[in-house]
Amino acid sequence: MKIRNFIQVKTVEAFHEAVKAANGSIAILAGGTDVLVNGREDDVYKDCTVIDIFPIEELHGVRETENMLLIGACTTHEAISHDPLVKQYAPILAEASGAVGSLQTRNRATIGGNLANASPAADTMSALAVLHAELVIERDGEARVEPMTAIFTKPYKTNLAPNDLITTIRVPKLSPNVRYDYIKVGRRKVLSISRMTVATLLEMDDEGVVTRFDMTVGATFPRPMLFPDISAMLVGKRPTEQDILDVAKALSDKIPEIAGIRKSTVYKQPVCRNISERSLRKLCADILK
Amino acid sequence: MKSPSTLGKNIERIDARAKAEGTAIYGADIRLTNMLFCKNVYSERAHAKLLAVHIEEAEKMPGVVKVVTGKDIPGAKMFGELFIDQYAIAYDRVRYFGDVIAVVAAETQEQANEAAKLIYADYEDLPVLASPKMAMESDVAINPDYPDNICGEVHVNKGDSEAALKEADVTVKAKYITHFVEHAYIEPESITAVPSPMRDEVTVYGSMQAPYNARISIHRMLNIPMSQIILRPSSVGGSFGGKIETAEANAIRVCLIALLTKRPAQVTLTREESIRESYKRHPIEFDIEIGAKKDGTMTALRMISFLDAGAYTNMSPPVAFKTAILGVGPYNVDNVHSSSTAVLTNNNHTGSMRGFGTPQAIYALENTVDTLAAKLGMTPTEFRRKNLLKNGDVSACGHLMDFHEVSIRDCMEKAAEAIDFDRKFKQYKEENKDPRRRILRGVGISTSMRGASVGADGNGFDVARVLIEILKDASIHVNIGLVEIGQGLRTVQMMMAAEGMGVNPERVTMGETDTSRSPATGACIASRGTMLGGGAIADACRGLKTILNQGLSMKYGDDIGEVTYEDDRVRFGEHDLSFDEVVSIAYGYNLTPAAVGTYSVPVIDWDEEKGFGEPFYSYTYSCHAAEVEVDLDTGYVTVVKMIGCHDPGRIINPQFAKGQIYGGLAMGQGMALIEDLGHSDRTAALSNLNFNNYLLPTAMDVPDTNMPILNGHTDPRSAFGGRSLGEPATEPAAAAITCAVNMALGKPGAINELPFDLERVMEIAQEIDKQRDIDAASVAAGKA
Repeated sequence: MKIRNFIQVKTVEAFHEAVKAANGSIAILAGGTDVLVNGREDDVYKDCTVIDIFPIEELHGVRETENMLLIGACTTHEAISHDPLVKQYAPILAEASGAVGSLQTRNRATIGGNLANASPAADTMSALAVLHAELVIERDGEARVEPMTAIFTKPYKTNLAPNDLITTIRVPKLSPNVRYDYIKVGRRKVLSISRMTVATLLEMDDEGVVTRFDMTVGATFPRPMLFPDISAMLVGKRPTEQDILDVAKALSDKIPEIAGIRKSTVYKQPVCRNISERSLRKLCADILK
Repeated sequence: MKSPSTLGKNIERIDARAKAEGTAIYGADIRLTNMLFCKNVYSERAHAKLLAVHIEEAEKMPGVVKVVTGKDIPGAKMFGELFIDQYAIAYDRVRYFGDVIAVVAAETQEQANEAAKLIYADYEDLPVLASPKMAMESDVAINPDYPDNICGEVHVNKGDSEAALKEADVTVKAKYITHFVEHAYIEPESITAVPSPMRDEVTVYGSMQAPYNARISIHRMLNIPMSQIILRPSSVGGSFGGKIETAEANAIRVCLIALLTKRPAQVTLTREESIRESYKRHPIEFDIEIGAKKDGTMTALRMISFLDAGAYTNMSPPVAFKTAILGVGPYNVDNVHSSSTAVLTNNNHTGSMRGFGTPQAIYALENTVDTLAAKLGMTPTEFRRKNLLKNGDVSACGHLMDFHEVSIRDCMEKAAEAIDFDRKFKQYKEENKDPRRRILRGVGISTSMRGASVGADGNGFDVARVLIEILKDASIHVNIGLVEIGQGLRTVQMMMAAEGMGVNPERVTMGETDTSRSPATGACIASRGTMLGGGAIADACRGLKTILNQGLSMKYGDDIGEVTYEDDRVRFGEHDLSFDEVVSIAYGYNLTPAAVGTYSVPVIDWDEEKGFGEPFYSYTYSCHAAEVEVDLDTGYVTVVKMIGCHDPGRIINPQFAKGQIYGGLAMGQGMALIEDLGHSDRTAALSNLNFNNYLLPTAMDVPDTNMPILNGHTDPRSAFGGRSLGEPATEPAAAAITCAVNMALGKPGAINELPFDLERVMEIAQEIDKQRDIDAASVAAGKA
């Protein structure tokens, strides 16, 4: 792998300084699971200063405020999948993080890196989307907050500037009443790029009336998406079998609508419909009885 | 073998410690003073005339010591094991994307890589023939020796299959298609050539399965005497048939550079280069038709197959031999026609890979058999019980099976019982009818008989040789060129030598294969290592005993009578000597207790013209059973459990035998379900050149509950009673899984193209859902 320069930083300030000092392009290395692979394929980083942010301690770990989980951008998928706070307040994210690659990958790959790499097949994207996650992004010491879905422009592209650093993923805590389901379809059990993920959050009151519903499909659209019209199909209702069929159909119809009809649509559209039905039936099992 | 034998014991592998502790030396571990690093430059065309190769810029790059092209090869321009038609470095034409047009040698790998990027060629494009169909329809000959692009044709004829099909009560006609499969050895090819400072001599190290074949090619192409080409394979990190021609091509390249520069030279392929250049398992298209009487007696079998040979003949004709002959399976059927045609294309060439043309055929045959059974209202086991061969039957190719235990029925019963086939088949068939069920379950079973070694295709040259020497400390040193490629062969050879001499295995030491020490032998291919190597070892042991007995006669008189060697003792008349004493007696009389052993398979009576007779000297019997779950929502297939029951003759080392079977099952699972090179039938390119896209089953995908069953029956046709297991272990696996998936789907034979990936299964799942909707609607209408 050819690079222009390699710098390891231990603080966010040091990162900003390194960015300023760098002459030419910058590549940020978090866990390295994308950078090292891309760099091996071709000389894509040969003019880049590679800045390794993994040693920045403050970017590791999960903290909480009253309403939010604050996940450091360099927290590994393995750490997230076992984190007690994440398991309590955003269990769907713990599950999605545990679905990434293999143990070896999860021990290096970071949630911030997963987002910045912007692969449409990233396993955590659909979970973060339904959680309404936000990103704290720092530029020259100035922090701003953006919805997680807002940074993506197209596959493998974000609107982040070279001197932008995702520092924290903010995830609103879920109440214990929220039911969730995460399904990953891959070609094998581990070390598998998602063919599709479906992430669902569903909250109902004591009467079985839906108070919150977020459902999306990952590894299917050019970027992670949320659909208010899909949410509206169940909110305020006590779901019936017919509702489930309708939601699953509506969600799967988004595929040709948004991604266009491709070779993969023949597979993805019916599978989306099937597993959406499966997910919703599971989540509503007690209501449907 | 009267006394307690070494054979049949789980003796620890002699290479286990070095491999487990990481001290074993593999090809790419080698570092030598002054060694050059090489980089291959591959063709940018799948088919073109090669007008010029421009190396001038590369030669000027820092660190570059030598750049060679095909023009630098002093001798013959092509090599090949059986058919000489392969370039080591292309010089006038390129025939696939894996052809190498130049090789750069530099002081460092990075320098070689940089310089290689500057090499380019002028091409005159030729039509790219990316499938057998295109190649057969085209006027363009890929190899002028084969104007119609057909490089091999083999057929089998028994009775009158056409008439029998007409007369059959029930027939099934089907088409099956298989794909390119990668060996996926964990170690990509790495070869190092070291020139001698004394003479025109080169020593070659690295990952090689067939060193004696490579010696012939290096000799022919580089014009040096065979005695001065020394091959010493390193520890081989997996092969599965794959470390032959590709390793050889790379050996020729680095030998050329080593001889020209007088410096050691090494080439190590990246995974992408390895997949790009190496040969694959043959994609085969089958048209198959079988017929039976109402009572289930199989009466006719026709199997027409076309194999994609790729750019070079490689092993395609012998592969076609096995496809045609072993593809008709272990059935007692009177009327058979099978023909296999190998067609040159501009795809990766195809050659030796574990199974050698039969896993594909068994998959086609066994799925068709299941379809026929279903049509007859029989279960897969009922049909097979009626039709599998037994002692004294004549095989589908005309072989009278009266020379060993024909245990295929027993293998099937054992496998069926272990997976509880008959009960599950009924239960799942019933359960799967429930329209609410989204996860369908299935069981499948498949059978095969594998010819041991090369068969009639190699009539007269199927030979193995060994050199065994007893040293003064009474250790027995074996030098044999049948290489250890991970299967445990070296330890098995040690065990057989101990058995042959009647001594403790601790006495036997095994040399690393070195062509300057071990006599030339046929290669470690065709699941022949144990049987052929065993024959040679037995022969050498006889020779050694004759020499030792000569010493005894000199000391004790001519009438010593019969001498027995067992339990590490030597006994004759009243005498009971230790082996050490007997060895010192021989040395005391200045005898030389060293012997060369040779075994060649007897010439067998196969009529190539008619396609009838004895195609192999002996056979291994195999049955695999698989249980699967098929998710109708996603097309995902979970393999729940597999059984591999085999009769490879006498089991020499049960643990190794089980290891072969575990691996064989996993390999079949990958072939059936997920492995896909992403071949384009337009450009002939492969898109999945590394393991991020070329997916293998992981440890999480292969069931922990997979179970090998050893059903060994000592084979009187083998010196130590053992036959073949390497290839049989994978032969019926893909068939068992696909039969199980098709059973789960309730449509025998429905999915007829490999791999059975998510998309293919989903297509059928959707048909099932549609049918369920129609059924539900008609029920509703009925009620109304």
